[in-house]
Amino acid sequence: MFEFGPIFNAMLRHKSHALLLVVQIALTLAIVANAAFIIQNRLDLMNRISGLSESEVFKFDVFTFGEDNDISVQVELDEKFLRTIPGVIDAARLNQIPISGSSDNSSFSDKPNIDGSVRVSSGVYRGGTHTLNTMGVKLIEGRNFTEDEVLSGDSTQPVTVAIVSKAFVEDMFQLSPEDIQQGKLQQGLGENIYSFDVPIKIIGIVEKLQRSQVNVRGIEVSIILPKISTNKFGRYLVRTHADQRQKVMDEIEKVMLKLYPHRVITKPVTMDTLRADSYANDRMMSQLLTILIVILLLITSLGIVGMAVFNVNRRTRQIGTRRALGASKANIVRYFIIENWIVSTVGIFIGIGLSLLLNNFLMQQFSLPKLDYLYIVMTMSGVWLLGLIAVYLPAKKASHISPAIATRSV
Amino acid sequence: MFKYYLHMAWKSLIATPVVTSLMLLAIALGIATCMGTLTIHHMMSMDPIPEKSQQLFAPQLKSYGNTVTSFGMNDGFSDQLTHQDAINLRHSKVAFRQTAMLKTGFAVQSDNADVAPKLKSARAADSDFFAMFNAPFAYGNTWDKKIDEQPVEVAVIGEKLNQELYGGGDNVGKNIFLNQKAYRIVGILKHWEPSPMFYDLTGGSFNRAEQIFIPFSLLPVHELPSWGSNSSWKNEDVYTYQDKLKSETHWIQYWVELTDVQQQQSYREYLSGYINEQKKIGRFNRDDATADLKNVIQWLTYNEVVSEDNSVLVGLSFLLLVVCLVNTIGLLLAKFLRRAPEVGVRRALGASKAQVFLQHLIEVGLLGFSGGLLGILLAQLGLWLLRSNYGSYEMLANMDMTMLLTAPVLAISTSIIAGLYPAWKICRTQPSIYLKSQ
Repeated sequence: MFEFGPIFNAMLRHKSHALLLVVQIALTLAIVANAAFIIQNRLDLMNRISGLSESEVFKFDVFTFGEDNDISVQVELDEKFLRTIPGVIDAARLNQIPISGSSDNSSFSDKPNIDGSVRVSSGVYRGGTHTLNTMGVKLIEGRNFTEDEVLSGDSTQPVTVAIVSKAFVEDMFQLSPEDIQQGKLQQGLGENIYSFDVPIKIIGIVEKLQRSQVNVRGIEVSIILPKISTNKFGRYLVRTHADQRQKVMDEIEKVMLKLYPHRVITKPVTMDTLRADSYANDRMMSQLLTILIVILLLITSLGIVGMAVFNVNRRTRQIGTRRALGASKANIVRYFIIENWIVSTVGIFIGIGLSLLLNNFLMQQFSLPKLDYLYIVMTMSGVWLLGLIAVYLPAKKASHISPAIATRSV
Repeated sequence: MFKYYLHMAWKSLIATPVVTSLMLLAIALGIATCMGTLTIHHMMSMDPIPEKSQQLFAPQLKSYGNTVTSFGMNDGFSDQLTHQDAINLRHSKVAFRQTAMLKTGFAVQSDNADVAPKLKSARAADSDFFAMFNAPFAYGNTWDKKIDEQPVEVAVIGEKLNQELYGGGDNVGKNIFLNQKAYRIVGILKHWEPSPMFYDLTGGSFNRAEQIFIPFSLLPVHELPSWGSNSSWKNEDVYTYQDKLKSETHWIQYWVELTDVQQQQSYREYLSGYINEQKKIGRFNRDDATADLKNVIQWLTYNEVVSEDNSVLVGLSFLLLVVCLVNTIGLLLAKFLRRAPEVGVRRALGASKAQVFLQHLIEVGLLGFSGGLLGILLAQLGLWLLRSNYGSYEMLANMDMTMLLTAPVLAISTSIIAGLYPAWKICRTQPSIYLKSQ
């Protein structure tokens, strides 16, 4: 049935045509599967949640050049004033802003500086009691800092308490997801961690808080230390009601300069902008790969159409003969579709092997993860479908060839 | 004969407009994709200072203590130096030229105090900086060498800032105000934007060069903050700027110019001597404390300036080109074989196999050339889109002469390769078969 035999024999008569198409389909499958997988990877990265209420916050930087300004006093004035602006929920001076690309990191251990201690590298935020509320992160265990725990930037005292992210606790105390489900998260609470050999007590745990750098391992491993920086260069995070954010942003430079004039206030920036900047490379990669996939599928389908048209033209007389001998239009269409199906299928099976080879190569050469087989399956079905669509029109045209053609001698 | 074949090729191409445009499109898209990704790769891996890249070296010291197991880059060296090491190396007379550097920044104003200050990055460096990195002066010159030891508020500014603050022209001798302090302008650079910005890769590889340069010796005077990366392996109290200058924090970039192999050898010896000296006073206390020198090219590779993503894209786009090639072979084969009867007659009339082969190859070459030109246009469109959507690609997404010439060469050679098999197949046509049926 389905005339597999004759179709196959006919193909063997023009091996090179079929072979070229097989190669083309196999390569297409391999490239598209891998590219689609990379795109999905990047999209996953870009869609990770920061933990902040992103639609409500914005940041700006302050650079003080006046010499007559006690910055630790000024910071307090600035923060207090910012919180009184209508529409503002809270404001805090921070050493760095999540997903903005700064890299204030430090490493902590579960025991004082001795061998065998677990060391965790973490993003470090420094800020006061308003930090949590300004970020909008969710405290799931323990408590916030108190005012007396917060140190000023020029203080020589070491910090003694910290609030950490859930991921920090998981890494530091090596908890598995099951441990977390059984409520063992609290175990971290009240424990000491060590910065070199200085003990710091964990007093609170937040659900999620991403680091400032996005391209690092353990992006959710972060710690907040109760210390307000008093450098000439400082960053402020402001949380407003979402609908009033733009209004507050528009007037921020003016009001800040009114408080103290000898400083530069940088343009306020929303988290959307920070996100777009931090993930610019990933966004570009996924856009370029999408273009690559589109071009590839376009070319391959044109190739399939081209070969089908060629075959139809070459076989005009044979088709006419078949029609004259009683084959229906549907038979003719089916012939071409099956022919294409055979070629696609052979190409797809070779393509599966090629996909794995290509992925293996990419894994060895670059830091790419192992291909999820789902992408091969999805691309396979896509290529099959594409082949059917591409061959349909030429096949339809072939079916309209009149039986009279056969009876006409050249 | 060539002209005649070209004419024939042209006639043949326009005789089958659909197939021709399909092939043209396939070649153009393939070439455009390859040229786009290749251009960025080319610009990323460009030697930013070809006349000197073998003479400029970044010295590195494995200076961290034995209390930590790893620090800095993968090979255990840090990409920066501590302030004290930088100052010590500056005292040596072995190198032809040398400079310590720090990226910092200021609120910047011109002599017109009414204009609000703008926040701008600046580079603290030594007087040799400009000669070392071939930064050309439009007016004035670098500051006096003595200033490297005895700090004075002087500045060299870039062309762009000169334009922005003073409207261009020779402004040597005027003052520029950095954090409200007057710095006398001693030199104004011509346009100078090394890409990659090899002399400091810590904040990204394709940043633009700073527009303000001031003496490195001003660091302790004005307590210039670091606008770059600071990393330390040691637990030490750093509260004041003086503490930081004496600390083991790595935050200073350092470059030397070593003119020949002999000088490079002497500098290596000097560095190992320096390490031994420091060991005696209790620093560098680890067994594998060594020094390394990397030239510009090694430095770029070491800092992975060419992004991995770009390499993946170049690889995938060449695979795409292979698909286009296979596609074109298929279409050419179909097209040529349909012409078999005609070729049969030509063969019977005396055309040699070689002539038939050549004629078809020329047709393919013409196709490739046109596809290549169309590909360049498409690639330019793509690069333009990239530049307008991604600010950081403004300098990278530009085709230089090499790339503009590569495109048609790549296109023609690709299509000739594609045409070889079909042309060979058609030139083997047996005249007799076709003569019979006529």
